[in-house]
Amino acid sequence: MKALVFHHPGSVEVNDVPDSKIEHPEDVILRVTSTAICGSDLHIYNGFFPQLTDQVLGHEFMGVVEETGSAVMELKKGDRVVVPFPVSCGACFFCNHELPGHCENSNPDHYGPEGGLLDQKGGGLRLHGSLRRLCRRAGGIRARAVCEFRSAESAGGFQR
Amino acid sequence: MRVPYANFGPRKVPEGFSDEEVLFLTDIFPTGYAGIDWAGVKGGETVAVFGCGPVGLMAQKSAWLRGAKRVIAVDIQDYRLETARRTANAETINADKDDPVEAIRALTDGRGADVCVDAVGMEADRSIAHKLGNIWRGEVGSIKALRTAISAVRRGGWVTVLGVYGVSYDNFPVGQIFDKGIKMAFGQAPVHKYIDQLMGHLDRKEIKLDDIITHRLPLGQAPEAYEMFNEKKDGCVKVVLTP
Repeated sequence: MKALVFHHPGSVEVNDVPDSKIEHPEDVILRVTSTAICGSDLHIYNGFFPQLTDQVLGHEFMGVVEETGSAVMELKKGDRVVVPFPVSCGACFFCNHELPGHCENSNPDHYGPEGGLLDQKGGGLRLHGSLRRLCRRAGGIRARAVCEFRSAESAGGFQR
Repeated sequence: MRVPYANFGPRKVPEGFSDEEVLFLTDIFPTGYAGIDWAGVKGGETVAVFGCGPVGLMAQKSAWLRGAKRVIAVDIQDYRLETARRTANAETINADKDDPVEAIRALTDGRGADVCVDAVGMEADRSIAHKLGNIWRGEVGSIKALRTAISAVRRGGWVTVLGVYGVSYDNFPVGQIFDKGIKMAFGQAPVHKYIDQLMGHLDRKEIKLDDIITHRLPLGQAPEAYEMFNEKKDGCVKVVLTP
């Protein structure tokens, strides 16, 4: 499938990327019908949030369900849905406190009580987790539910 | 694409809506709405929104939805101010031509707005000298828009921050915030919290979102669309891509 891939600041291309597939029983595969470019995508595009790797950009999208995981209850093939940008489990402390953007389960690599892009630990600057994931969380692809035309990067993008 | 946690996130679209009418429930409408909801707008307030990009416009629309008495929009791009007048019925201030703080005070009996929304974030336009100061302090971007909002809000008012900030910033005006008794809220919008009630407003035709769209392009033209949006060319406010 095709997806809009960020390569380096000022350079994005429409590339062929691997098709998405169900990786967890609660996943659905969506055929994206419309997507929008967000101002926060531009923080990555213009280099304000530096990225170490190529990645598919975007997180404002909607589409039609093509396939559902075995634990998906409400949705079925053919349903037309709009998807909130935060990737949120719906079950953790923060999801239960109406703070889905702070979900404890969807982004374990760089998650913690301190927050921020950088912090001071032991006298020096320390990155929270990998810079790449950090930038995603804080700036551009705020959710890992990257917006593409049927995925790409889904494996790297979605933490389970 | 793969959507995880499909029992919690995706919402079915009711019959009769086009994609464009509901697409902004994914992010910018709940985000703009959060800036108004966090400030507890109940009706009768004067709301000033800094930034007339997509999120700022959604905040302006949301302010009316919650009963604001006046909505003041601030930007430095005339075409975006025109968009704010046309799509959000806002009074507008061009911050390149007028001091927005003085202009807002002039509109509010000298007090300042009840609520100021920062829909600009760290990438505010600024002078070379200002940029050098930011570099000197090791700052990525600047809190210029936030500072302006803090000055433009009335004592005891609310400043809500939707624009993205990435690092620490020195000289944060905490003394001014304390003296004015300002209340503040920051962060990404809790989309899941708002999306169903906002879908209800759309269903009852109480708000229209798709009038901010300026460009509709196929995915193949996404690279050009990114450049156009980033450079604010061709009157670009919001781009929707289709396969």
